[in-house]
Amino acid sequence: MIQMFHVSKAYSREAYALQDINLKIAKGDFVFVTGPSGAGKTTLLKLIFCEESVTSGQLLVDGRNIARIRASRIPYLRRQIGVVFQDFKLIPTMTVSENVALAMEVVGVYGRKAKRRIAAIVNAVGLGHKMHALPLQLSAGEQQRVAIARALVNDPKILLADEPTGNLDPELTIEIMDLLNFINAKGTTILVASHNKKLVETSGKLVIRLKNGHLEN
Amino acid sequence: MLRRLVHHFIRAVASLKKAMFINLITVATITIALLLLAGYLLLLNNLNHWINVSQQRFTIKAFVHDDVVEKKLGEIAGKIRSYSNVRDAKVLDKNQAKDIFIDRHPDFLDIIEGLNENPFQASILIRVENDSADSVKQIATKVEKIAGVESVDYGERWLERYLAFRGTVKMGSYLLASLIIIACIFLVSNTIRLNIFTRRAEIEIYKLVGGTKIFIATPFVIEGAALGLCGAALAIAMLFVFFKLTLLGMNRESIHMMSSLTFYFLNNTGILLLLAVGVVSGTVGSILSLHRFLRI
Ligand SMILES: Nc1ncnc2c1ncn2[C@@H]1O[C@H](COP(=O)(O)OP(=O)(O)OP(=O)(O)O)[C@@H](O)[C@H]1O
Ligand SMILES: [Mg+2]
Repeated sequence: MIQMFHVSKAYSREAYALQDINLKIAKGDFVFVTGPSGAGKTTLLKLIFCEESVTSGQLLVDGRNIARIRASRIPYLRRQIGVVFQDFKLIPTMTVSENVALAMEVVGVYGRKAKRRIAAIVNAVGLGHKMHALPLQLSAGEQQRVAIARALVNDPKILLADEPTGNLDPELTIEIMDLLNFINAKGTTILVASHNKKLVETSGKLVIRLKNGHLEN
Repeated sequence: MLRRLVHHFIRAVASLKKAMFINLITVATITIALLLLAGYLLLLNNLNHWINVSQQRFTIKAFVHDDVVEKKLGEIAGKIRSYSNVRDAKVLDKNQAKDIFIDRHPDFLDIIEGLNENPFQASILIRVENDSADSVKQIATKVEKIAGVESVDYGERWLERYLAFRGTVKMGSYLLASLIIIACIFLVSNTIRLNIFTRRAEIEIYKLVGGTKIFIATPFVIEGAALGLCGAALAIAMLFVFFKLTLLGMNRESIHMMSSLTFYFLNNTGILLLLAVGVVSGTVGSILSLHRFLRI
């Protein structure tokens, strides 16, 4: 599903956030990306959905080389990929359901069909009772779950999650992990960036270890 | 497709509401700019009406030699009627000319009856299609060359002055219209730029969840068009109120005074033109901003 050949990313000349990364993630895999802060976890995810461009190397997503993707194709690539951002990126003036609806609007799904789907997904992340709350009226953990709901609402082929349990207590962490496992069982490829060692090690999933922009294993 | 458009409209309306204050100011400024243009159009429209009232100036009178017999007169008139842009050619023989003169100046009856020969000249009255001033001169020179025609009269000096004046007015309208259109484009473009700026975080998120540029841009374009349309509609409405309050009152008075001075409001073409200027400059303004700040 995702393949990297000698991928490097430099934000500025000489300052590499990622260097010579080679990896292969199969369809249906559940993979953790881990490493200390500043290791390049977020950068790795950003490359996959084209928020940042590859500096050198080849990057294949779902069989398409996106190292030199045309700007006009990027939106269509992103629709195949659900992303949970480290800082959530919710729109503060929109309610929970409106924030989730946004992801459906851009692909052209409106009305009753969208409403039903949104209700189902918001219930699934346990926020059914806060449908019409604004993000600022929610706790960090709740905001995170809204972000997860938005990432999943279009049934993406790939789910990228940047610290999806970073703000959650252990109980909620388990709940979210169960949710991700459930999505993964239905065939979605999942990539989770996390520096929660305990979570990564006890999960029994594949692990990609990064340090200073290099692959460790 | 329709559904998508409806959705874009809903988003545009929501965003118009959010930036209510700045949008109101923009509409007010556009209204003032377009009010200028609307006032100018109103003036033009009335000028046109007054000129139409005095339209008899745009007739051509061809005087015919005294030795042309009556049968020949009809032939000449027929020939003139076959010219393009001629609506009608009417023969006025010597006797009719005399009758018309006596009708207008009954005091002269005795003097004229006293003459042993009719001093009036036969003529042909030519009306031009659409009363177009442009073809008058052209037709008159053609008629003048017909055998039997002695001279033509078409108010040459007046016509030339009118054509020159009309040319100036036309140039003036183009100049004024372009200036105002540019001002409106600039205004809308600035407002939309501000709206883009205040919503940049939101736009970023739309991009990240897979929104195309068109999807992101459409509500802003609708917003710009709506600002222009509102400005134009308000300008027309305000001009109408002004018209009702002042000029129409003068119309009523002038009826009492048996004067022929009547005021008219903008015709449909003028109203549509103003609305189009609003919508087009609003659309262009927002596209300019989007182009610069979203690289669309
Ligand atoms: N937009 C940017 N411009 C310049 N440098 C950046 C940018 N984003 C990240 N970097 C740099 O790239 C390196 C990797 O950053 P990245 O965000 O990928 O780390 P991370 O592993 O996600 O860290 P954390 O666990 O704190 O989220 C860091 O040294 C960071 O300073
Ligand atoms: Mg990070």
